[in-house]
Amino acid sequence: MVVRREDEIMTELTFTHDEAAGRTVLAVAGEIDTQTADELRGTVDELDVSHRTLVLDLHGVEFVDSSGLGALLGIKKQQDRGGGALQLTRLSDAVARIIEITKMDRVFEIV
Amino acid sequence: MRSTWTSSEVGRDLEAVDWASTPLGDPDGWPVSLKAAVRILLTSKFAMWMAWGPELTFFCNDAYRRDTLGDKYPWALGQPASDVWSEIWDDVEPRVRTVIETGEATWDESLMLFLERRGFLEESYHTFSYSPLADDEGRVEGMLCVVSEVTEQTVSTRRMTTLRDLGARTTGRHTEDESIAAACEQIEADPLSLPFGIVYLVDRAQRRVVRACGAGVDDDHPFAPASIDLDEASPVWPVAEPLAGRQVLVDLSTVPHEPPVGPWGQRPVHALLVPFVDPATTEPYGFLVAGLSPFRPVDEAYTGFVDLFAGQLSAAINAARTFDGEKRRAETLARLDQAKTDFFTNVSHEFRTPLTLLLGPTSDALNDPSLAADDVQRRRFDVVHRNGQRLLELVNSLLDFSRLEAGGITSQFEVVDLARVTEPLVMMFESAAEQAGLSLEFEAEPLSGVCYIDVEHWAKIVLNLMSNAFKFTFVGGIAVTLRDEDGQAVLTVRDTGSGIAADDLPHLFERFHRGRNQASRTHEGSGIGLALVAELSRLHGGEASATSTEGIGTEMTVRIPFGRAHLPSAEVTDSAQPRTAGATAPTALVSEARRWLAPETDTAADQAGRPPGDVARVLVVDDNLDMRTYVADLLRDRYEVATASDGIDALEQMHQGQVPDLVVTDVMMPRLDGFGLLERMQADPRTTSVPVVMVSARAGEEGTVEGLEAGAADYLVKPFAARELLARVAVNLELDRVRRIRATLERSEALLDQAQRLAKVGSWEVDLERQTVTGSDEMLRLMGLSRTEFEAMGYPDVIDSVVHPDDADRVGHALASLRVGGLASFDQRIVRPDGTEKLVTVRAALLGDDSGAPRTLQGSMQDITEQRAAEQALAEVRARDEAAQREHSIAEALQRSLLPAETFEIDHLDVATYYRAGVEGTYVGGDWYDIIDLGGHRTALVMGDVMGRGVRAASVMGQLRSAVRAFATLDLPPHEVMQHLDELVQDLAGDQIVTCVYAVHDPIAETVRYANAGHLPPLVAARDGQVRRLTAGGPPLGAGYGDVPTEEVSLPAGATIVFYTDGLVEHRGRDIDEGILALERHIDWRGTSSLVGVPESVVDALLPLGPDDDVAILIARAVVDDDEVSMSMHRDTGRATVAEARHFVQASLKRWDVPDTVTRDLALVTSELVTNAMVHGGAPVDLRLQRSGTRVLLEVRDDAASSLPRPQDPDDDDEHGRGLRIVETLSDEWGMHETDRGKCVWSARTWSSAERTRS
Repeated sequence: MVVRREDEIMTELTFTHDEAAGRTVLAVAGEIDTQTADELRGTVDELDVSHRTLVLDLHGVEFVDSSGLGALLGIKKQQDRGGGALQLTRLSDAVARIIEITKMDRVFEIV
Repeated sequence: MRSTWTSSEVGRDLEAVDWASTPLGDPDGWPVSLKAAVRILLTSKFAMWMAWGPELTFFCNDAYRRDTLGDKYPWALGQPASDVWSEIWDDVEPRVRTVIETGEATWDESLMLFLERRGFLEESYHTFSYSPLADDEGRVEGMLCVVSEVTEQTVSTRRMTTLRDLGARTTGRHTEDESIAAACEQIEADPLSLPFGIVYLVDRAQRRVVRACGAGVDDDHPFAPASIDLDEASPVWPVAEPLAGRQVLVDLSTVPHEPPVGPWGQRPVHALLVPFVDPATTEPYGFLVAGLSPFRPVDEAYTGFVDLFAGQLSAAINAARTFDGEKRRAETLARLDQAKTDFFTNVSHEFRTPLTLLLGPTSDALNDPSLAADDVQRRRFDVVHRNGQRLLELVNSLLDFSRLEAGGITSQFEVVDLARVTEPLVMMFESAAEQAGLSLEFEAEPLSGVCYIDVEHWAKIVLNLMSNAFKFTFVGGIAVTLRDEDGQAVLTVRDTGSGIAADDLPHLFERFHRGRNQASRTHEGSGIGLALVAELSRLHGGEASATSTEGIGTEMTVRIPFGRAHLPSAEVTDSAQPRTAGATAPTALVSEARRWLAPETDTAADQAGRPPGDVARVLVVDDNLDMRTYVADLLRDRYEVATASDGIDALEQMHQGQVPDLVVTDVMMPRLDGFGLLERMQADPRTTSVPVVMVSARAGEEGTVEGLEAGAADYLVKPFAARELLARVAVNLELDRVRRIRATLERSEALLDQAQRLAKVGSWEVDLERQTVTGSDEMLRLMGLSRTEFEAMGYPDVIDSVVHPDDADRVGHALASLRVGGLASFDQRIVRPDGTEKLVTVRAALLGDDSGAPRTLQGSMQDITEQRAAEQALAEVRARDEAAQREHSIAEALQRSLLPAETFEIDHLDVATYYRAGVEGTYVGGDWYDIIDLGGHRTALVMGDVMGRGVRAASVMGQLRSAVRAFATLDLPPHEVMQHLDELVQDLAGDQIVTCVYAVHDPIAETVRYANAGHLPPLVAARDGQVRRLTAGGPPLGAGYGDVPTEEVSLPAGATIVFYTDGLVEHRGRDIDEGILALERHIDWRGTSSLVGVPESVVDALLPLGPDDDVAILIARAVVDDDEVSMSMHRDTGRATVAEARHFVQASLKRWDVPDTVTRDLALVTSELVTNAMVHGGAPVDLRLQRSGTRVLLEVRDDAASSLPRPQDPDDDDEHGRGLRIVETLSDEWGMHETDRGKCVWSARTWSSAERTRS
């Protein structure tokens, strides 16, 4: 558990990685904006699972803006290209809201 | 010529002589030589006399007259010399003749002459010379005598000599008689100094003095009786004086007998009695009767001499007596010594027979197979046998020793291999040493010489030394060595024991000597052992010696010279082979040693068969194991017995465990003896009262008395009968118990009395059968009666005598109605003999006897007079207090009900109030204020002042306040409210003056509409600080308000309005305007912070001495409901700038109480706008956030002067371009515009109260 002081700004995302039943699950926590989106992309690249199903567990994402959304899109495209798939699971409120506002719920596979 | 005579005294007297009647004729006619001779005579300072002429006419000079002539002067002048010295003329005449006839001078030295010049014939000595005197023709006509008297010297010398000789004679005389005889010899040797001397010595037993010797007087001479009774009425000599220590000079003419004839046939005239004094006791024990020479004057010199003589004799006698005494003592000691040995010898012989009869049969019994091993008799026989053997040893040692002394020992010296003979002896102690935890070593080096040893003696020597070492050694060990040294065999026994004190060492080998207080295993021992060793060593021609250091150890050494030269040949047998086997040594010493080691857990500790119940505990203390066991066994049947081996052990046990009820202790024990134990026990409060029974072998009254005086409860002498011991123990325990009970009882009684005294409670008791009463000391004190007075009253008369007459019936009734076992308790008064009354609480219980019939009344009585009075006083005070309190609370409650509320919660207005009644002790006065919520965001503010003070004004005020509230609910315009109030005041109190202002605040219109009836003008100012006094208004209420209209003033956000009463601004001697001005100045119109505390501070400032009239203040401020924050960002700060902006916005909105949904959306908006600005725009990027009411405005400014962005429509695939769309969706309004720097994109959002609750 990370205790956050009120004035402390999350500059990092935290990742938890797990393999289960032929899928790779990556849990992301933190705030995804233009300054942290690259970190997300980079971590996914390192996993190198574009050929498999990547499940992004987003319950820890406390904030996500259009840049974050764009990053998710980018990952999806990459998975599609690689022959795998992207699934989003356990959407936090912030993630759900932005997807709702931008009407992107039909674009992502949400499980 | 005569003129020369007159120069001397004699000369003058010579002149007076009738010369004509002398053959010499007139001096003028004298021959020249005569004249010359006379002149020489007269002028010389030397004593001279001369004679001239046929008659030998006498002349002398001053000196001669003075020294020699004495009484015969001046008669002698001019007389014939033969007349002048008639008494010595026989001596003188031949000399004179010689001179005159032969012309030769004579010389005589120290010639003794008896001169009569002082009235008696005086022994004198002169040295003189007669020389011829020739006349003018040369014929010897006369003689000149030059004389020097040497009497003093001669006599002194003689006396000194006598004294010296006396000293010489008496020195070395060891007996009194010899000394006295010597003294008498000396007296007889110098009769001139002491014609006679008689020595008398006191015989106190017979109350007389006895003549010890007489010198110069015959034994049968009555002058010197053989004895004189002290009581004799008129003794020959005044014995009383010298026996009282005083010298006395006796005139012998008073003595009934004639003194013996002394030298020169004269009898002495005086005798001096000088006492002999014993310097130790200063009591005269005799005296010397010293006859004094009649020929010497009895002057100080003479008496002094006699004194010295007597003194010397006395000293000699004293010395002789002392010597005698010493000699006698030494003889006595020697005799004692001998007596001891004899005694022991004789008695020892006597001992042996019964001992044999003891040991024999007991030994038989022990060897009898029919005596079972566990038979209790066996144990008894064992004890008897053991102790019998011990006795036997002791007796044997003594016998040995005394035989040695008497020379009765025969020795047999043989050639012996000393090492081989010694080792087994030493090793006999091996097992005992092991048991004691001591080391035992034996080391022998080869000897260069031949030892001739009597093996029996040697065994005794070695075993005694070993036994001794063992006895005193507790830790460490014993080392025995046999060495060759200086032609001697040296046996050394070294131990690490308690050592011997330095002053004991020299006496170590003496008979009967025992070391003082050494720590040893046992106190037993006769002291013979080492003496025996010494003697036996001496028989061998050797010697025994010892060195020791206390606390470290001891080394005993026996040296035996080699060879046989020093031994009596009769006792020596030579053999070719040295003997290697020692004598069959007595094992007694070894067994004794082993016994000292008996384990601490002796059978006495076995507590089986202890009697049950509460038994007394007895501690038995004795260093002898057998004794301990015996006594413990005796006592075990009746008591719980513990044992200790000496005083220290006993104290430890008492300290660690329980204190016994009685202690039975031996007296002689090592470390701490019986007396020591007793002393220590007495000093410790825990054990001081434990009775101690001492058991001692020391018989005789003294021992018993000593023991009892030291504090022992009882003293038993060994041997004692078992019955006696048991009896004594029982008696002492019982005595002790009784004593303890008594002590406890006394203590309890004392405590009870004390308690009663403290509580002022007395106790009493009535014997109903005998009709007697009795009470405790405190009871008597309470009643003021003596014990006899009280008890004389009896029961039931005591009630009438003591109880107050008015209470007597009640009391009597209460007591009479008691049942057996019942308790009554009541208050009553008693009357004391002096008439004073006391109030008491009585408790009474009726007790019955065995059959249940009433027997005794018992109870207590406690003095409660003062207590009751105090209680009453207290109750009265309390009642008064309560009444006052009640009145006060009523007044207070009433007042509080009239007070205005203290806090108000109004939207749109920040309000603070202050109220204080002017009259001290009251809470309300005529001033009041009120704040009424009119609904629809509007608020009525009221302030009023009823002239007058105190509760009366307050009650009018109360009514008015209620009326205003009532009117307010009708929502009437202010001036109408005022009209109604006016009517009311007229009705209520026609003469009352009431001022009032009624104002209504509308936050939407941002106005205050008001009506003022004669009240001080409220103050209004906006944030700019420009103050207005709202002076418009009408007359006070009750005078007819009329048509004064409602006024209006604006009250924008942040503006303040202040209402107050005259108590705040009106001061005696000061213009009211000044007060108002002060108030204006004191309010912080521009301030934005809360108004809390402001009214109080205003009052403090304006009324530093406190208000003396009613004061009311009401301050209201229109709430500003605006907030604004901003922040600035730079692009490349390396920090998460966008996140920062987001969090900033979130925090601010949260602080402003903005709903969470709005905050969440605005955070997203912020993120988009700032991202855009940073990505497309330029740094720095400024963010401003404003809130006004329920609307929030967000502005993001950048430096990029590019074209204004437009929202886009990205495809699903596009990762970018959605930002502004999101902003558009989430904002109520949004837009952008150019700024001088770059551009500004803004988003606004409003929310309703419904949104608030949803979050």
